[in-house]
Amino acid sequence: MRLVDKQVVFPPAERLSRRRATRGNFDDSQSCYCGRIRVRDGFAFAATPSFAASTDYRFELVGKPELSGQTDIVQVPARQAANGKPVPDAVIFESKADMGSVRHGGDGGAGESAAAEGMASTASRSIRHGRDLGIASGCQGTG
Amino acid sequence: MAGTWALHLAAKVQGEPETVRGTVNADLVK
Repeated sequence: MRLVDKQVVFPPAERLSRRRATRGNFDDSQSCYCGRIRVRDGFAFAATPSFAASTDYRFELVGKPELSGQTDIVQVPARQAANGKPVPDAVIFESKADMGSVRHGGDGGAGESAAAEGMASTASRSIRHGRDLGIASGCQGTG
Repeated sequence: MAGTWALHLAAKVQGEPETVRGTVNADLVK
């Protein structure tokens, strides 16, 4: 809306030529210059939407991992970092588990990695993690 | 393997143009 208000409407050609005829000093280049400035303003407006950085949200481990056969199930709802409110419509589409990047804890196994998969859940997002799911690379979760 | 695992997650949040990424450490017993 504001962008439309900011846009320059160049005078129709007949009015322009009338101005030129009556005034004789209409600076066409100045008009174009003003137009360009305003278009730049428009671009600046359009190119600065409110980006959500990853720092605006966080994943939180809820409860203890649940062991089910050869699979661990953990609840990791996304929350807004500012107020801690859960984000119910977050869809985890990629998940990967590894031990190599953990600085604390672990019992060796540097570089160990395994696939994890997302599970649909009404209250929060669950990640199923297990050897039987394969090695490395994220896999598709469900929403 | 039991121990602390890092879960790297990527999610889409409605209304946000960027993918939200994060890592959670979890102590898994398996």
